[in-house]
Amino acid sequence: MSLKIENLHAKIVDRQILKGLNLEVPKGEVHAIMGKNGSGKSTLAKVMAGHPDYEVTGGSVTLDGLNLFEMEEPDQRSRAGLFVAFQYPMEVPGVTIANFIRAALQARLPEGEELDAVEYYHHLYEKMDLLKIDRKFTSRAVNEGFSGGEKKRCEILQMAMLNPVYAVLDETDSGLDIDALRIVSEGVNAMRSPERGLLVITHYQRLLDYIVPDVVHVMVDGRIVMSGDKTLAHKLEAEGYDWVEKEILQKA
Amino acid sequence: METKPNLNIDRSVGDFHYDVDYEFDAGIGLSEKTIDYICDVKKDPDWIRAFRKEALRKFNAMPMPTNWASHDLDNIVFENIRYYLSQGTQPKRSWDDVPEDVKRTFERLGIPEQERKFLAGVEAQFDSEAAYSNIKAAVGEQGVIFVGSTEGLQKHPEIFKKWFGKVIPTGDNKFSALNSAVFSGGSFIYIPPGVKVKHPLQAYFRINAENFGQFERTLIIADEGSEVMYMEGCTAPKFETSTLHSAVVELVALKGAKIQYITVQNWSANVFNLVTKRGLAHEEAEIKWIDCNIGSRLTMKYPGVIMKGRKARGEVISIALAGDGQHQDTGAKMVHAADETTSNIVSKSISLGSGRSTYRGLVQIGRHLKGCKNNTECDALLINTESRTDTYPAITVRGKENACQHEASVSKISAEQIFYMQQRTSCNNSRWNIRSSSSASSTLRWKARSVERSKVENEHHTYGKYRCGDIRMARLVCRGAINRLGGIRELPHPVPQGRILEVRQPQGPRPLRVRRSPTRRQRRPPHQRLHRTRRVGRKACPWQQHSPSSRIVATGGRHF
Repeated sequence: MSLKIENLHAKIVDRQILKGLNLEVPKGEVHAIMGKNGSGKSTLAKVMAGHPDYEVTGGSVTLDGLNLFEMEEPDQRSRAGLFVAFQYPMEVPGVTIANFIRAALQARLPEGEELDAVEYYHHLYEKMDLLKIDRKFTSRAVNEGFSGGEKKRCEILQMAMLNPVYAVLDETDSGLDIDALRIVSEGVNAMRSPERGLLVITHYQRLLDYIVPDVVHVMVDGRIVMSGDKTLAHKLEAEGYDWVEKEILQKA
Repeated sequence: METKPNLNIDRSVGDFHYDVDYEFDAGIGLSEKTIDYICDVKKDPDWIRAFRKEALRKFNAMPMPTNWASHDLDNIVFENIRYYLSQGTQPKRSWDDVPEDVKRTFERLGIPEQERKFLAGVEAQFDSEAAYSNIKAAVGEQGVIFVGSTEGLQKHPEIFKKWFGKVIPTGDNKFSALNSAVFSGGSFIYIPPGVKVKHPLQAYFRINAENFGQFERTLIIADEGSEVMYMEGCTAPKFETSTLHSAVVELVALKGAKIQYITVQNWSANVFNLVTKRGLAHEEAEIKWIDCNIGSRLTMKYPGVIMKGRKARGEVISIALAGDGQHQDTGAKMVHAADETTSNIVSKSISLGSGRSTYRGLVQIGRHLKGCKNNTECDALLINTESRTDTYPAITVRGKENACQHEASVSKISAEQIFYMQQRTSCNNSRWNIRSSSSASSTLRWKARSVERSKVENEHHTYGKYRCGDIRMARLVCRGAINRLGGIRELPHPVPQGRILEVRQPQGPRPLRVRRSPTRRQRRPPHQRLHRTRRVGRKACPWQQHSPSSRIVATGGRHF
């Protein structure tokens, strides 16, 4: 049981970004992808979510054997158990957080079943307390006028509420101060379970001090070029991404 | 008639076409001869013949209303249109008698099936004349009359003549004049006093021929204390050339009567839909229009209610969806002509792709009246970059103890936002309430799934346009929009009489932000300070509630 990406190719307009990416995240594990700007990390997240701007030109992504690309709409993938926390979450004026999450949960119920409102709010407040989000936020529009840190916390709140099987966190640490980083990381750590696979995308090793990964992958130019345990992240931090490129050259 | 392939099927349900042999064809173009032909075929009485000719004179004398309406109107070539096509003037009472080629059209659209299921009566119009018209025996026995307008004129002249053309005069506008000249088909309904028709009566309008104009004329009279609900649906196949649909609908609700009129218009994208609809509500009567516009190339339709008797009520609920290449120019007119009358307008529009929706609202409360109330809600949703929405409210409230409220909001949604929401939830089976933060009572329900991805591709920036006839009204209307879109600018000229505002979104891919509930004390940027609304009456909420001494007169150019 795993999230399996095989030989994935994807492009936007005419620019090829992913060039044969292979990755497997088994359930119960946390994997991290590191890489410098423009290596295709965010593209990977968006392609998996089904962003209309990107075109998949080859390869496959499967969730526990379920082919993701057979599901055309992003919401189908979402209901299949994939969650993507975005680097830049959109503002949705007019739709409150409480309503938004509620609708998302309702959509996951079989037809004819109604979400229990009392239980829902109980659950929502519990998760908000954990993420130290003010309860007043339930009636605010999704991400509208939020600070960077609030947006990211809101993403993690949604993840916690939707309870996905696999989650991809795209640069969740960017724009967070130390305290916020710690809170968000605690939220993510609370989500670790043998029933869930997490893929954390980041630039910095700093996040991985809080969310300790089982495996660290390094991405260069649309491919995973190196994998290792958490010490790889430290090494990267110390020696920079140039070091990776040199290593590859030496191997080649 | 030129030959066409037997079956044209496109993606939409109504877009198919069968070849039909017409018994009567008035030919192309419009002249007195055309009118004589129509009168002869229909065996019209002399007063109708004179009425038609007078209307033709008025039609020819009136200019196209392009001084305020869309210039797309100039693309209608009246000389190329066929004004009358039918297979006979007598509608059939049983589906078995309806000619095969017409019947299969309606069967394909599911009309006979619906009739069996839940309707009290059905009329099906095919091009110029009703092909089928029938009501259930139980309803007929109560004295309800539901026939085509031709039959109504011939068999019930005493009622017909009394009300025909009284709510909407011939010269009301160019297209009502055109309809009066060449009208054919439509429904004639009379509900006797106290009769409440439980199930809806339905009419179905179908255009089958190319280069054709459909001019149905509907007259509904609900006598004292009666109730009726009428539904109409419209489709046409998609031809290369344009088709004209210009109807006139008159409703009369006598004392205590209730009429509910529901339209679902899904004409193909080559149809000009220029319709005049108005109701006359006597004492304590209620007229409610529910107007849903999805199809057509250009729709211009402003259902109205004239509240003539004390405590009469009028309501318009207008829903418009403007897709690529469509312009939905809709709205409502509420004329208060008696004390304690109330009216309500709710307009919701969605513009997507290059679609454009326009709201024009007329509310009149005269100086001599008291205790009148109007409430207008007007919400627009812009989906992505090229779509456009405009609002032209014209509100005249005079006299004492009258209240008028106008709320409007504009929301914009981009492909990225849809993607974001879709990542979290199915937009398919959950309906959203988009509550505009500027006006808590305005609620937009929409289905994101109905937005085709292909239409929302390019993400470069254009503007959500929001215009308004009068600057004071604009302040009322645009309060939310101004805050939302961030800038306000007065344009030098274009629209006749009254100034125009254009509110533009600041350049750049910055997401829209709404400032929450700005107080009037808050410092405004200089360009807004210039046009401060006069302080009126009560302090609490001058934008929405006008106290007795206040009045707001919007001179928003000539509407309608």
